Amino acid sequence: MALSPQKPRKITGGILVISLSLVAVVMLSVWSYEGGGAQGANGVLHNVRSVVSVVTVPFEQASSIIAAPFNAVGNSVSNLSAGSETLEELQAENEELRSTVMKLEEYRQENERLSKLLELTDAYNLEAVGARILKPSSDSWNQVISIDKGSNDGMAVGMPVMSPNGLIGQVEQVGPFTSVVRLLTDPNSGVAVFLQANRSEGVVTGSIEGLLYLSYTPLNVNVVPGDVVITSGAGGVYPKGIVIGEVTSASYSPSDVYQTIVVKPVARVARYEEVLVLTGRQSEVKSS
Amino acid sequence: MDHSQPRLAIMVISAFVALLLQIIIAPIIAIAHVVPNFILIAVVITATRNAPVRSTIFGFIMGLIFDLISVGPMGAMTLVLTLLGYAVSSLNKGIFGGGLLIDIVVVLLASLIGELLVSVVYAVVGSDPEFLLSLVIKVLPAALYDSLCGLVLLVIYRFFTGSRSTSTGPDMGRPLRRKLR
Repeated sequence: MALSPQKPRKITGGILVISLSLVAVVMLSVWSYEGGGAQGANGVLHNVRSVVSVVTVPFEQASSIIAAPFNAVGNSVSNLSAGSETLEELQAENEELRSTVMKLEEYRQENERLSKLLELTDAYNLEAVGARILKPSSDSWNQVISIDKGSNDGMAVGMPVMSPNGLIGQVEQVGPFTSVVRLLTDPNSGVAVFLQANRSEGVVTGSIEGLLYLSYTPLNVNVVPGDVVITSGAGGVYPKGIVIGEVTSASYSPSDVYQTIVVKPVARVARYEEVLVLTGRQSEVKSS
Repeated sequence: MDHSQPRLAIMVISAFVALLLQIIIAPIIAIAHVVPNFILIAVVITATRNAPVRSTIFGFIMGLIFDLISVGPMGAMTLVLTLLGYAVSSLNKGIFGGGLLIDIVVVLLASLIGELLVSVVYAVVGSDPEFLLSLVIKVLPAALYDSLCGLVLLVIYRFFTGSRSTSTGPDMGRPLRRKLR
């Protein structure tokens, strides 16, 4: 008799946790069914997230404001720690880059003249919109950034995002005022590329440790550290010719089918406060 | 005397503070892409002081909020924090029985188990293609970071709520203890 009132209470707790867990599992299933990530952008759960993002805008901006002085201090410390040897290396590198820029400028002008001559139009029509980085990811499991441009500014899911140096990712979630960009270094990112030196194609994917890996490069392709990796345009998401990074190591064992190639991205998000979102219409981008 | 209303107020305040910390502070204090999970910490700490039913509901709501503000699989954190809230509260009431030292151990273990569960859920839905590697690179560092932040927040939480266990809410705890006495 004495125990009878307690049993229903225990069962209530058990039933509650099972019920709520089932609700969570259903949500996970729906999310997976919708496609997850950028693929399911029109799904119900993705739309709910977009609506909620409106509420979090002030907090994200607060985070950006609070982080600004810390970033400045971090950069200053980083700059101070550069020794004279580093300075000499940088000066040498700077001279080399100046030389390269001059050559490239020459090539650019030549290219422009030839293009006019052949009456070629710009294949990509890459219009870009600048956006400020609000904050990096709020969790350990997704390498993303929030930017201060949303659907009201013409942002759309799938748009490529660049830094001044090269590609950094793709817009995955769009709210009215902000968007979320999944970085190339995220394990769920992938982009079709080729090596500038020998035009060998492959796919660059992110990884859990934050490195980029170039996959599907056959063993017979000569890959050396320093080779530049650029987007191939295959897949229709990213325009052709955007710099991703350069090869830092290439290795394989006799049993491998493809080489294991590590790519150092040219664009490190931590260094930037602004990014460029390529807002060219999808049809134009896809035509590349 | 009914303690449920002040306790509910403390939970709401905890939820709000955890949410602010997660959105504003967590991204700033991330180390090598490892971000502390203040929402998980809040669920664990409140579960050490509240009854299972309330802790389960609190875990569910906080998990749902986390899922809504993040970009991971929707429902992943909801599932993990629902289970964690229930488990921590049940174990703390039934086995451990409270106390600062026990609470510290609970926070450490719950952080590890929570991050591990997240990793498992991510692997199951295909969002973590490198499960074994992520155990070393993500789960352990994240659990450690959560634990450190959790210990600080636990002390603060106990300072504001007192060291006395408040887990005698309207559900299962108190009647059972009375009968046992």
